[in-house]
Amino acid sequence: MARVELKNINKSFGTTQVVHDVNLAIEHGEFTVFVGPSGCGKSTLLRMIAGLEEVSSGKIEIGDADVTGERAADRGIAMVFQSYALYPHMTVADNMTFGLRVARRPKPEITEKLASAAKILRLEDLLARKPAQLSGGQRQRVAIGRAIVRDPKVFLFDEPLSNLDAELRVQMRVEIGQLHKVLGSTMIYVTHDQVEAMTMADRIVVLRGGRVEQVGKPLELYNDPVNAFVAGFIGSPRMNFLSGVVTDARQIKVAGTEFVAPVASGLVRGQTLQLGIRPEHLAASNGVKIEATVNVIEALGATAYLYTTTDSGEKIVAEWRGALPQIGNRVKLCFEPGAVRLFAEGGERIR
Amino acid sequence: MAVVKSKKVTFAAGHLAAIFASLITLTPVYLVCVNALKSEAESAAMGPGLPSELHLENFVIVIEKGKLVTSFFNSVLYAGVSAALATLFAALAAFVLSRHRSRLNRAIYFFLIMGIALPINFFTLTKIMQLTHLINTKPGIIILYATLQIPFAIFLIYGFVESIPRELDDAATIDGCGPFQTFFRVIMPLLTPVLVTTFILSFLNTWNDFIMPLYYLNSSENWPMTLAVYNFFGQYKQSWNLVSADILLTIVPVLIVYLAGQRFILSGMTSGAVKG
Repeated sequence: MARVELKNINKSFGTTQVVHDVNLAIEHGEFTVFVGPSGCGKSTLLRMIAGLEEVSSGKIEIGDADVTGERAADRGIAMVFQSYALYPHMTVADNMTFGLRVARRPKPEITEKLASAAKILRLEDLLARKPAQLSGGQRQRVAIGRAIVRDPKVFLFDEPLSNLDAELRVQMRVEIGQLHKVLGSTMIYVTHDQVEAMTMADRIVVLRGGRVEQVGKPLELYNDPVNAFVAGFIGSPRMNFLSGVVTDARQIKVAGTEFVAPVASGLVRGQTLQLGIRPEHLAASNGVKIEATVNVIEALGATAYLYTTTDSGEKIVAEWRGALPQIGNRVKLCFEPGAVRLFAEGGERIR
Repeated sequence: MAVVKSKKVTFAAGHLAAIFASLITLTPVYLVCVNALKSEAESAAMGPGLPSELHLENFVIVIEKGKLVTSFFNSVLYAGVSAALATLFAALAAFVLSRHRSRLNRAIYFFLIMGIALPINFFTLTKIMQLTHLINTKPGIIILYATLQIPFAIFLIYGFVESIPRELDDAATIDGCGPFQTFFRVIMPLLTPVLVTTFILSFLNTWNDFIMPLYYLNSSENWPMTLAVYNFFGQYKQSWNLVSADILLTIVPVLIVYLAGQRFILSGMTSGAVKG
């Protein structure tokens, strides 16, 4: 267990820079999730922490020791890979103890660590099998077991659930969460799935184009995003963005209606901006109304989502409670002005 | 109906062609087999008839007079050691070249692969063998054979390495393996099918080779079986029964190696899939 600190990390492949000056402190015992669209540099960042990729410049500290130039095996980390990366020619037990055997640890220690890891992950009955004889979920547990056996200060997960089917993914999500509670270790988890990030993380790091966009607790990011990218990335279905025009100091015109914007400072008249409003905030019983035509209805049972188009042609997804309209019907979508998040044309948040 | 008929005709024609092709290869083998068991007089015509009485002693004579025991062990030594060396070095090279695709490594790969197609320049080769004092020595011919097999071996293994996920290398790195441990403990076991294929093909090539020892081995105690047979034929060309027996004895070991390994040859050439 240890804290992890990244100081001014840069990474270039040839002339393309993929990670730009990342500074990040991950506290001891924290479950941190790196999330972002593909190509945002999250895996590269993780691989640099692991020691599989060199940093172009900057410093990585794990537990107050500078590990920037250390070998991966000496960093006190363990990693779980997307494809599990189990050694196909070895049994489960050999897979899990391979690192200890390479390090020439004494036999009793190896046996003991294997037994305790197998117990935590309920792998006792599978130890003699080869990876090919295991199901996807079992393989993933072996991969996690291989990490536990190393007794690392920091666990690194590189999209570990993306090869599993939906049901198993939910199950493994819970298992990894429980494992974090049991072990209490620092864990860094990379995913492109914002649901995984929201459900698992103590803290989320949102990355885009190799830069950190925002760091915070899941609900902080959800309720108080710093820019339109974070607002759009976190939350499912994603936030609706409508373009609006400032008609008076605080008055905004959007999709045929006008309302008083929930901002502290004045806006410039004539300024165009983006209004972000989440689907569930459009199910208010009163407030500002937007009229729209229903195109598609997704009835999920407990709730329903309407895919609509406004008269000005903007697409809006809205949560809907109560009696479902027909496709082609016009509906009134209501929202409280306080639920709206405003973003400048460039995407920065206007508070 | 017409379609079915024409299909049947194609089928029959294909079979005929296959039978004909088999006959071409099988006839000499048959001739050698029957004549190896005949007396000298009976075998003089090298005819297809069955022997009137079995002369199994032909084999004993051949083994004694043809220095077959020495040349058999020479052949095993040359083919076995050179195939092992070629397979090992080719695997090491293929692993590095396939994993680190720099421009330089691609150039090296294509340079090595050219060895499959380009003919050997015997003049320069002889010069080099003389210069290195490897001419007419056992280590010399072994090194020469290993070198000759390496291009094709790299070609075979290179494609196979690609099918092994790179994440396994990463996992091994995190488990504390250096490059050599990664190769020998993780990658090489997964390459087994293609390594066996490479070994067998390279073994067979060397076993059947005639030219290299003809040029680079002067003394008869260093000769492999191919050269011993040739020499035996020179001495005993009036005794077709003995020549036939000699040829048979040369074929047998290589046939055994092939039959034992053909399962691997096929799987190594076709499959490249190692799935975790």
